[in-house]
Amino acid sequence: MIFVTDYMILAVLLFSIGIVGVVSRRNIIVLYMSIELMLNAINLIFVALSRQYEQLDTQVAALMIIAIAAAEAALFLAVMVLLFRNRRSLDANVFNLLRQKEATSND
Amino acid sequence: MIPILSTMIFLPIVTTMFLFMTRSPIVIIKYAALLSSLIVLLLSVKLFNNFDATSSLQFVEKYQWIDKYGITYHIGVDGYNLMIVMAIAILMPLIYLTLWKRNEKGYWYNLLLVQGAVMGATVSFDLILFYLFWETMLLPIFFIMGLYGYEDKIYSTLKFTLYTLLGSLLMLVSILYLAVEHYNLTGTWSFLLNDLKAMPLSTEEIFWVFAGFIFAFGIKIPLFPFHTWLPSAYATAPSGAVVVLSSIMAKIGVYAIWRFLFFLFPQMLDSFAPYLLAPALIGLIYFGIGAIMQDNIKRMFAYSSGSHLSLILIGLLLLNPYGWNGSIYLIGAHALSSGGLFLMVAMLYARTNNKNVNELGGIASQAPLFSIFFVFFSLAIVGIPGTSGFVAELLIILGAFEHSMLVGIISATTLLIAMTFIFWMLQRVIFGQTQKSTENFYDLQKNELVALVPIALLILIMGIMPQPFIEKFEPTITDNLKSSYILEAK
Amino acid sequence: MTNSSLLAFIVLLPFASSLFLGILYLLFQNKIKELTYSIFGIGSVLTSSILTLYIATDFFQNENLNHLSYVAYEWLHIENFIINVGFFADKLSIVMISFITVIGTLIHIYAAGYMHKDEGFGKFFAFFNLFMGSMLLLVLGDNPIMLFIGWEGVGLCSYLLISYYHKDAQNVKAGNKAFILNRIGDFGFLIGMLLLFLYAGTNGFSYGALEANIASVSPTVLTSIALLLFVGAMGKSAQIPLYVWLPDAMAGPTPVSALIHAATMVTAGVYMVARFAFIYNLTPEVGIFIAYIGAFSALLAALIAAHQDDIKKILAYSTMSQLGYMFVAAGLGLYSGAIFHVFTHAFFKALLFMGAGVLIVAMHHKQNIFELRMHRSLLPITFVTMLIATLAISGVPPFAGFFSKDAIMAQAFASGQYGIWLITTFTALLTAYYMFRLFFTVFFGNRNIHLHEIKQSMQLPLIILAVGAAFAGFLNIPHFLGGDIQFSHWIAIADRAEHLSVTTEWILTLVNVTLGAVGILFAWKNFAYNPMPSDQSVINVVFMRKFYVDELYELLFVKNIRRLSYLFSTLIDVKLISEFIRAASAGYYKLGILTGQVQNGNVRFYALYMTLGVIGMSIYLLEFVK
Repeated sequence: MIFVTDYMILAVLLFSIGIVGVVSRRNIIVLYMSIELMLNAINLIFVALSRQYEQLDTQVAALMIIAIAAAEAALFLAVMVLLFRNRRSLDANVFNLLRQKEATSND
Repeated sequence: MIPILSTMIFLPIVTTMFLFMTRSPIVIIKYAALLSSLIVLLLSVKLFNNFDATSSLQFVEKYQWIDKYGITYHIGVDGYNLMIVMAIAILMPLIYLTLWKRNEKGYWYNLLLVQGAVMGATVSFDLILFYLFWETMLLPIFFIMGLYGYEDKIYSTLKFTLYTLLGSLLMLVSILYLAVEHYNLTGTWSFLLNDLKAMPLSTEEIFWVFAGFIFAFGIKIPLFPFHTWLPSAYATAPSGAVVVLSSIMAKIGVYAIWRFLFFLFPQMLDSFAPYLLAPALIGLIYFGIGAIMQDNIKRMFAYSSGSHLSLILIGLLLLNPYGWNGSIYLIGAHALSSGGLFLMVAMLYARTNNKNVNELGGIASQAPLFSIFFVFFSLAIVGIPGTSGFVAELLIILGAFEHSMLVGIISATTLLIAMTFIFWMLQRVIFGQTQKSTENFYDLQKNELVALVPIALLILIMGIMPQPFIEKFEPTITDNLKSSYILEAK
Repeated sequence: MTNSSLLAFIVLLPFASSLFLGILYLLFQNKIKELTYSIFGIGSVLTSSILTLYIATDFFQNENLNHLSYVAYEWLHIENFIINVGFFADKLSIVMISFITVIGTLIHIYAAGYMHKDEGFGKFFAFFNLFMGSMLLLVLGDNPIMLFIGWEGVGLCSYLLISYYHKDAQNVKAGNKAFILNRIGDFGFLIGMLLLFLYAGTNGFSYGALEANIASVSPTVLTSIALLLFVGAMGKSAQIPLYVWLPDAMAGPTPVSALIHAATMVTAGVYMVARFAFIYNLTPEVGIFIAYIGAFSALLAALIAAHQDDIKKILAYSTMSQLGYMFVAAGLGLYSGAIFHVFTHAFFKALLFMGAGVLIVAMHHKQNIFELRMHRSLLPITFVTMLIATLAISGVPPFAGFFSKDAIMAQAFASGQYGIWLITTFTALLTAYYMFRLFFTVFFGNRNIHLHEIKQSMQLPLIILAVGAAFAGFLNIPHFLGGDIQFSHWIAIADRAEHLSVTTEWILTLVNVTLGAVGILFAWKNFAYNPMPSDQSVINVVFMRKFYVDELYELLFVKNIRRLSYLFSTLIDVKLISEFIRAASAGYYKLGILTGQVQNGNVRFYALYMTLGVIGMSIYLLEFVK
């Protein structure tokens, strides 16, 4: 038997893989893939919940998320292209212009 | 019946707004400033004449302002702030006259704003209103010092502003605490002094609230050791600001202790007095001696101001009629003499571009009129009989002796302190041979003369006939002292 | 216009004139003729002296008149502290203001000649009149506060007039010194005065009220008050240890030295002790202390004077010495003797200074007695008048100084204060010696010297004063010489006069006169025909350098106060306290940098923080919030 909780567990696993990926991968493309993974995991949870409570509301939410993910994909890839043009690198560590300045000696 | 006090507060502020928004040329600004301050002066004379020397609050105006939180527009004059109101009204036009040649618009705008704010702070009886004016008087000085100051202006301005703001913040905490307690007790919000007075707070609570206020006022006065902003601020600030700082704002610090701390917490003031008296006495001597080796003449007078302000505070803390009357009289006396002296330093600097005592000299042979006034104001600071300073110091020292022998003797040293640096300074600056920097020292111009003569005359009159002035505020003080816990306990 | 209100005029006229002259000078400076300034300057003092003499005759004629008082207006009134601008004249005051105004007028006339062609002529007379006004206020005030105002006022004028030639910084320094030392004395005086008010002034602060109340004060407090008041006198009347300003004060123009530092201001201390006789009579120990200070000051001054070469400095030290005598008298309770010596001293000392002024101008502004050497026939009036004055100060009968000094020394002997008697007698010997050293050196030189012209107005006052110096002594002839001490009787202060047998008095007097003669002879031998400055032996150098007291004060006080000031303003203020603040603000800044490390610009870290935050919140919500 496959219970709803199994899908939940799977979704949680996928989500955590996604988080770890966001935090620890340096390549922006991989970063994006991890974000997509998180979104899909959430989708899975919504659908599983829909099955559990015999309601369709959460399935609507899942469809909305897919649509938003698609839009987001477009934007993200556009930004990535611009970033690459600017710095010729896809390393997340390179883009850190908003960081705290080092302590200076005067003032 | 025009509301005199409100006019005196807001006329300069409104004038500034008007001038700013119409982008007036500098000439118009100068005349407008002079005119509005002269109107304030006339009103103040009317106020002085109509002032009834009993202990009641007069010229009161009281309007609801922010009803929901109990903030009232409550202002008035009584024996305590009469002197300061007069000092402001008299000094400001004279400052404008002396600074006639300066053409920076911002300087004039800010001076006008300060005038209004300072007047407002002096006459407020609602704590939030007072706090508003107290903060407001800081900002224009910040701009004047930062934009038009000398020497190390950024550092000095920031130090001065942040230090004072720190004190004000602590005071705000105290004010809010009082209001919240009042709300908890009575269910209504109020910031009026009368309402906040009768609250039963525990001694512990009173102590902390009191401490918050003392920080704000202590930093302003300045009370040793919170004084380190003083020398650099005075040295940096342009002369108009220095006169305001020394003659007016510092006095408001002492006055505020009377107005708020004595009114709200007389017993706490009584028990706190020795702890405040000690730093004040130390300050009296410390500032005076520190003044001796200063080369920069403005720093020297900054320390001198600190010494006299400590004396004013000592008078207050003695909690006896002599000390209080002397203290209020010294507020007036010192405002005049220190104001006059700083104005003359401005004139000195305008002529020689030099503030180093060792590089000046020989002014007496070139400009006798200037020298006479300069020596006169210096002697007024020393407290020669015949000047107002003597009367005030006499009373304070008398009050100090009534308090205790030790305090009396230390206070009496004020006689010795000022003369140590003043006479040496006079010898180097006014007398002696002419130096390079004083070669083309032209004598007093008409506008400067018009500015200085009233101050000198007032100092003389206050020194020769003090009683008419004292009569104005003495009843208030005696009544207040008698009706408080303090005299009952003694 | 009653007689009492005239008192107010006596004081106010010089003040008004001073103000008027001051304004005139500021407006017109040299464009007005000197005569205008002189008329007002001299005229006001002259009028005051006429009014004074008028009131004095009133006192003479009316046996019952003991005092006059007049209150002009209320000066200060707070609780018990009621001070009026009031004037009070009893016989003591009348005597004081008589010679102050008369001698003052003479010196004003003299000054008009001396300051001829000086560019600050108007300013000079403005200050001079201000001084007269303050001095008269000091004497005529009816309460100690008015006395103190006059007291400080004369100190101020002393400063202004000593620093008169202000282009030379040395003169200004001398003025500073005078004012500062005076004020140190005033510090003690003020404390004493305020203590007096707090302990004895509950019924009012005028002299009469204080006297009535004085018995209620405890002896310790009374002793302190008496001592503190005397500290003021130490400063004002140049006694040990606050005397070092007086010789330097000679930097001022000679009329200033004559009026202020000989006849009037320096005697204010003696007047004060006499005025407060009701206190000092209750504290005889303080009196003895005062007498000793006076005696030692007299001796020290005489020793130094014998080795000085500047004519004005010799006279300055001689003033200090004579003031010592006055304090010996006042300390031992012979107030009338002290005041009598003030009176006679005013005549001959002013005369000596004015004569010195004549000499200085005549010999082209030299001041060293060896350079002033000339022959007596060249300036006969000056010679004769100064001879009279020198004889008077040396205690040679029948001139004035003999009577006044003799009475003081007799009182010392009679009170059993033999130490003081010895000191004063020895000092009298020295006085005769150094004064005649001066006299012989100056007047027994060559005839062939070219003199600068002297104006008439400078010589006439000399004659008038010489008459006084010669004959004033007869006002107080003591009993053993057949007289009736009229002066002392008339002035009626509460003396504690001691009595001696007639024989003893004759012996003492003869001793004095003999010693005086010895001193004169010694001076004649050494200085009449071949005067030489002292050799540079160690002892002499110590004397000439005034025992290095000035240097001692400089080392002990001046340098240390400056070091202290440096410590306060540069070390404590800047290093200690400011560093505190700076450290606080720097710490705050560093804290900001530290916490700012969180923001490293790296998106992934932000994502991590967000994740952690969400996890934390979720746990909190799930676990702790039910």
